[in-house]
Amino acid sequence: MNDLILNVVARNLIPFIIVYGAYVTTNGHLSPGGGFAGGTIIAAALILAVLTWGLENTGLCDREEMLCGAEAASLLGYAGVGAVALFVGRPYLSNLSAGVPGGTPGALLSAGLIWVLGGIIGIKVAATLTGVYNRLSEAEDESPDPHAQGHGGGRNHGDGHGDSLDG
Amino acid sequence: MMAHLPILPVVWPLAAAFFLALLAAHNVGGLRRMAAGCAAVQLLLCTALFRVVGEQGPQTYHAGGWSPPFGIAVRADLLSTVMLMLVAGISLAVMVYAADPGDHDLSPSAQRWFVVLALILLGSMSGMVLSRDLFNLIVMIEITSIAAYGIVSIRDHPAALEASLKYLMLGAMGSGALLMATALVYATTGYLDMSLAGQQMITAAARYPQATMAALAMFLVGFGLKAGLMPFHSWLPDAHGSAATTSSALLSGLVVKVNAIGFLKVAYSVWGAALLARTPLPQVLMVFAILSMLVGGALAWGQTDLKRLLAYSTVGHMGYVFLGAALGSTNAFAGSLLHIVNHAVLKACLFLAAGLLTAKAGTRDIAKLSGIGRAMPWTAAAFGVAALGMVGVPGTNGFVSKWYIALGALDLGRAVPALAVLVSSLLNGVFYLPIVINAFLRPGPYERTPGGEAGLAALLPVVILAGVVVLMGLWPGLTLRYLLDAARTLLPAL
Amino acid sequence: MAERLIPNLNYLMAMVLFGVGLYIMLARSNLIKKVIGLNIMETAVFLFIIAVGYVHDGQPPINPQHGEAIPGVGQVAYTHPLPSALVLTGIVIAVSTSAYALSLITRIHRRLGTIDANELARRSRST
Repeated sequence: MNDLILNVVARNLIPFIIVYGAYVTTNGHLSPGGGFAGGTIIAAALILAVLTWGLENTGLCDREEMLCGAEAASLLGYAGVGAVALFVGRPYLSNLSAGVPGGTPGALLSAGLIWVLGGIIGIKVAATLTGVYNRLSEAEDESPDPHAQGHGGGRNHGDGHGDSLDG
Repeated sequence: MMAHLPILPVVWPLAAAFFLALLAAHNVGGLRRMAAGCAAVQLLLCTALFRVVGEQGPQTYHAGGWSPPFGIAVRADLLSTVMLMLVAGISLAVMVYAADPGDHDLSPSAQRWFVVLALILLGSMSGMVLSRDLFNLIVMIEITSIAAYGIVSIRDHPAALEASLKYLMLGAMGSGALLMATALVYATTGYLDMSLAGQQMITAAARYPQATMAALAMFLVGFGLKAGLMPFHSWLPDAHGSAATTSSALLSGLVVKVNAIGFLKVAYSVWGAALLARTPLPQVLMVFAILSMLVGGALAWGQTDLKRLLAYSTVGHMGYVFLGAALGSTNAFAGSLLHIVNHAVLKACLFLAAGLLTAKAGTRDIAKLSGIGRAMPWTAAAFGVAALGMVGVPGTNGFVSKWYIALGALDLGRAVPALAVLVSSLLNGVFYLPIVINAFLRPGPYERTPGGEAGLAALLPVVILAGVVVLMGLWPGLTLRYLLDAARTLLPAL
Repeated sequence: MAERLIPNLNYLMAMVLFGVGLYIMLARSNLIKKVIGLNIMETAVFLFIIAVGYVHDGQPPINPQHGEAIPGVGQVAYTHPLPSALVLTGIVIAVSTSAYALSLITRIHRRLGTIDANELARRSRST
């Protein structure tokens, strides 16, 4: 879009929103927040970018596979972090009891692995919500086709990898 | 590693699913084969867990090192491990079938997502069976449900899309009811762990009778909706009938079953048999179960679409499972647990065989399947054996589980349930046997050609499942021994 | 009757909202309204769970700033932190379900041109 106010405001606000989202994500074990809330804020920043400049100009449209890969990789990372405790002999997803340094309560690098997991979840949630928004907004450009039949009618450029993987 | 075995059946499939999601999309055939390999590893893990539990007794695993009530417990006992092996075995059969390079009713891009969703389903169903914490059970049920809605909708057909949405709406109502029921149990007993809540439930039920009764009712509605019990079954014929073959086999064979297992676990661990006998639950459940058996069978009678017929038959057979649980005697309960295992094997075999038959015939219309036994003798024979198992002919596993349910009914002196079992078996015969007879004995347009059968990867699971049907029919003690033990632990008073 | 109603008002409202959400899901034929009803129903459950964990005059269960001593359990009343964790998980599940439902509805609208449930049943049968 060519709206001046929207361009200027979005261009200046989006970095701050992303930084704020990162702050909320990393402070999950100290104050309300954590991966889910922080990831949603980062996704809001990315969606604001898509809303302001359109999907083609943001550089996210050719990155659908990247978003999908980010989701899958973060979940693998979560499973892997949980498996770290297995090597020490403690149950899966153990934290302080597996010998992870606890630190002083109230400091940023404390409570063992919780901030790592929170960061992973933040990336995952941001990727998921942005991906879902992209799929839903692509669909607006297609006109409804009440007489579509068979496999040909439902396919469009975004359908290349089927339904979006979320949840 | 052996000490961590209880959590591996949940972690391995989920990790494998997301690893496969990362791989490139071009080589879908390789992806399918890798997925079948992952399912095979899962079966090995579950067998190892079964051995460990057999030697050392029930294993409790505290995730994160925190024990209840602060942490989540995962418990592998006899019932859990038998059901785990069932889930892993049927999933392996379906994944091997899906790895066949022949014709599928899913496009290649949809097959990639099917493989990922099926592995997620495998992990979350294993988690449902193993979980000992109510909220963990709810989360696993949600993962299972969303993956299940997914595998219905990847087939890009309007009927499948509508069926997936209907399944989603009704399933989400069930999930909301389950969440509210868990919240009520937490509010009245103060615990989310099933064992601890069970210890508190007697005092809680005395102090908050309406709230605990509401929780029990909401559990029944929620699990009943997801298990396809009448009157909550309306999504099932559409969803299982219009999905792709492998999706329907997974859905009808496993997803509805683990939801029934979930209901039995919650009802008998949190409330306990003694408390349940004082509520109206047994009578209500019996009415629903008999209704499912009879009406499900009757509705299947008039169907012309083969897969819809199989879906209605699933509704009927879930009635058997809940009937055995409602009766409450050891024989009946063991019969219903055995029927969970048997029906999973039977229905998976039926759906996979039906997939091969309809792919050959090019249509799902039953009337057009006359004479197909000449072109695909092995497939049609496997379908016939599984159909006999559904009817409950002696020599098949269906006979053993129905026998035990009827025996359990007669143990309590109640003739109506036993009569319902008999009538429902006759109904099953009325709509299954004509298909088999048509396939072999009627003339039809199919020739006996040397390459007429499907490929080995697709045929082998079907034939092996049919072989398991006969094996479990002739040597029922293989599984029945463990399920009788499990029934005796869950129903101590009887 | 009023003295039993006032302390339990949160629970009562949660149940009323649950009923409202369920009614919307069943009675309205517009698919988007059904998704809204689903969200109202799940929000009602979250309200119930949070209300269970509330301690009268309790502080949020967050540690104070760095350097201060953490008050002992008997000196300050904290609300129960477990329901917050349950609700957070529940919210994520509700968001995922709604996202999936909405993308499915979008796909249906693209293929069949309707978002009315009865019309959808008619068109998916005839195609």
